[in-house]
Amino acid sequence: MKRYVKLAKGVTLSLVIGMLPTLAACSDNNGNNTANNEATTNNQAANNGATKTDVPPTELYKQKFDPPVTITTAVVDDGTSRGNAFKPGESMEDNVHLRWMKENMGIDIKFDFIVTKGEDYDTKIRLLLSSNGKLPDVFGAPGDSVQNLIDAGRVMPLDEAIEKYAHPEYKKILEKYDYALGGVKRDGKLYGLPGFFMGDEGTVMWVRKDWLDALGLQPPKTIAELENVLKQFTENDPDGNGKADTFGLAVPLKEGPWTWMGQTDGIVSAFTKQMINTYDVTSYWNKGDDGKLSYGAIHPDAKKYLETMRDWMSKGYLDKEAGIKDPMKASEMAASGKAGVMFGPFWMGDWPLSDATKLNPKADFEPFPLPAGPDGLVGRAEKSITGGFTMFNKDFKNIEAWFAYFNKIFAKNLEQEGDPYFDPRFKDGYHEGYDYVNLDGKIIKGNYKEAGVPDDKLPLKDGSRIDMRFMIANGILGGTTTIPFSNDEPIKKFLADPNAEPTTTREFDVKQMAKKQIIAAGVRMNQGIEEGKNFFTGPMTPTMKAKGELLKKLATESYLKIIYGEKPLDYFDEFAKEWLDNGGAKITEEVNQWYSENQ
Amino acid sequence: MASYWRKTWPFHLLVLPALILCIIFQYIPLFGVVIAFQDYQPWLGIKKSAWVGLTHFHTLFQYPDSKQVIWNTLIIASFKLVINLFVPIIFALLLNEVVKTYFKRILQTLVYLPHFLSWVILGGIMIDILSTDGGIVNRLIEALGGQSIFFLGDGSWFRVTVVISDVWKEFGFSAIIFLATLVGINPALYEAAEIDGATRWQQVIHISVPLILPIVIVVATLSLGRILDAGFDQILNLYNPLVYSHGDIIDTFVYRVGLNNGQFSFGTAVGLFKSVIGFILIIVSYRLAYKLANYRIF
Repeated sequence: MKRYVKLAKGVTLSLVIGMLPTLAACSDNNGNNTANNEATTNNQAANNGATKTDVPPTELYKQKFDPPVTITTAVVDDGTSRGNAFKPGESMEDNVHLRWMKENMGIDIKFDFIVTKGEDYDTKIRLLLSSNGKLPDVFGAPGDSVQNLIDAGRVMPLDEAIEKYAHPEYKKILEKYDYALGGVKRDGKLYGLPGFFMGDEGTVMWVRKDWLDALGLQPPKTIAELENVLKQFTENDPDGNGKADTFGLAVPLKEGPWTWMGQTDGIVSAFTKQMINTYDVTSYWNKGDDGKLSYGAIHPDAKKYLETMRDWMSKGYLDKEAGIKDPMKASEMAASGKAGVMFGPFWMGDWPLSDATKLNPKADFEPFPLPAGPDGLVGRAEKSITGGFTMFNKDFKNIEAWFAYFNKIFAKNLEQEGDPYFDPRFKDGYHEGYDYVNLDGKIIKGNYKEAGVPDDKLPLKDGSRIDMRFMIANGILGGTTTIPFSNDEPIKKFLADPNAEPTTTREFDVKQMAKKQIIAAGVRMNQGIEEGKNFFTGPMTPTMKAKGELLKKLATESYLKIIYGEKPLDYFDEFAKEWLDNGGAKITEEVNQWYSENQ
Repeated sequence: MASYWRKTWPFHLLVLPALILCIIFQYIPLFGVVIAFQDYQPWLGIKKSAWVGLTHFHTLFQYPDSKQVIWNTLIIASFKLVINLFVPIIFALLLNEVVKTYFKRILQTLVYLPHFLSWVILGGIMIDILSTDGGIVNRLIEALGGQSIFFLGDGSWFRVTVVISDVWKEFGFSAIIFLATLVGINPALYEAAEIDGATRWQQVIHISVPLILPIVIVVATLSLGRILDAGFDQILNLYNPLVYSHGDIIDTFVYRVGLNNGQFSFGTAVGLFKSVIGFILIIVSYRLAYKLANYRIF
């Protein structure tokens, strides 16, 4: 563990230093070596078509594969949820970006299949896997296929390619978040590239400020104060309509206490450092003092949480129907003005909580720091840093071409000064007339009509923006990869000065966020608490596969029975024993085995 | 024989595409059930996966939850079977007595409308109308002086809710086949009965009911074969951890263990088990129908 902390710190430090423009030269050198490597290999691959043996880093972006290279891929495109992604007449298979790639990079993208539903995509990959059909050269692998693809030996180990071709900053991120990649590692080799999430969705506490004011209450700072607020919200008619139709906390319990919205990790961590999760047996393996991992949901500390929730449920502070509600249904309670408190990520300020304002203009959900427990404990669960994975057919011959493109897009996200991978043609955006308009030297990236863009220069006739993500990420990148926590700096900037001018793409994106989201993200950052980490990040163990569902059912059911008062609090011990007896003990063994080999 | 073929070959030709489709999509996939006896790995395929005999069936009966799940399935499915048979018959008989055509049409359309909504949509609607907090059903109960009921979160109410809501969704549509039969009854029979002085009620009992009985038996026989189908879509959209002990059925169990958990062989084994039970039941009921009502398809 210590070693790990050190490593993480070292990597973080180097990342921070690497980003300082004054030291840009340092990362320049780094890029240089890789660049030369790439150039040489490219030329071999391209049969010496382009005879540039020593491409200087500043010219790297101009590289074109000659003869052109074809990369096949596959994508889910339902045509409706993507909104404005293409101009009329353009499509996923034929659009400005693909044409640009072909003309400027010599990369020709072909789609093996385009399906409209995620399930169909999964099925297709599974079928290709079982029928020994040809997999696309590059494709986003659905979660449950990842292990099968690796087991079947149909995908390429990537360590060598990453070493040779990857952008140095990307390598650093891979190293920094190495702990999250257990699922695509086999025998020490990496088989998939993660789509990194922003990782900044850690829970904050949303409270109806107008209700607090109406009842003369202060925002709660501790669990005791929160309990009082919940009580007042439930009993004292905060919306002043003369009816007892409100309650305190909106929480979805159908899938257990830890989910993607309305999660109660903030309450759990007020009582213990042991994170719990009943929903997924791969998640919330905590580390004990003895260095062993144990499953949070059966740790005795969970009783303190259950006791609180049970108490609140019996007093009516929670939604009586929480047990049958998923996050969407639970958030309806908050959005419809029935509940005054809900925990969740920063983005909830815009959706779904802003719906409360549509019903009642005075409704005002504000983000607050998480409350502290009786012993001053405060915390939250760490959000997963990776989404899906991009995998490569083991017979794919042109991985250097893929990296050439990926590095360009990555460098564009990074927007680092002096980056040899940065393509200056993407300085203002990707394609003029698509994601930006150049109006007499002024770059306009949104709200075109207000900015005075004449009708004939509008990217789309109705003046709306074109969403470039669908042209770029959906092609061969297998999804969007972001640099974890890269929103933090822009958020700080706009918190300090909401009217500041955005200078980078990232800042531009952050500026587009709702004001409440920016404030909430600030609340998360400023609370600066150490996030509870899930120590098991490996692939599902054999017993997890066989018994996981059963244990998940057992845990969720037992938790709910205790919270609802159908079973006494001491039933928890019985549950914990049953959990261990029905395969949990074996899983714990397997998890610790994995941990001792992989930490 | 030759003349038979000469006369009927166009009809056989008409059937041919259906037959081919049936073989390709119904019979050939049947061979897939062998993975129930294997430790199937998708990338190895059926040919190379290891054979494990009856292991998966053993596992099915050893899961602590299996008994509960099978029991739930049987209970929910039998109630559905019985109620889903009688409600449409009664409804069809009643509707048949309605004289005013426009009223009949409107009524019929209204009751079979829910059939076309999916349980994904209805599940959401159900949660709202059955809510203890202002749901329309509980408001009604409270207005009548009762206590509100947590229909979807209370184990003892959950099955009732599932059966009733399923009947509500399907009875209008199921009634169509009985209505069609009733319409097909020779009006002369009713006229003769009327001349003999039979009342409306007597006409129903002595003409309508006996004449739709064969159809009732066909429908019942066919639905017996699906006795272990307690309604996957419906349960999946309505159930929750609070009512697992009363509402978890074989299909939802297989869905979670087999698909969510990637245990293809186990899922197939459970599916095969279901089909075998269904097959036995349909043979038994067909024999019964033949013996009791002298009804036969072949």
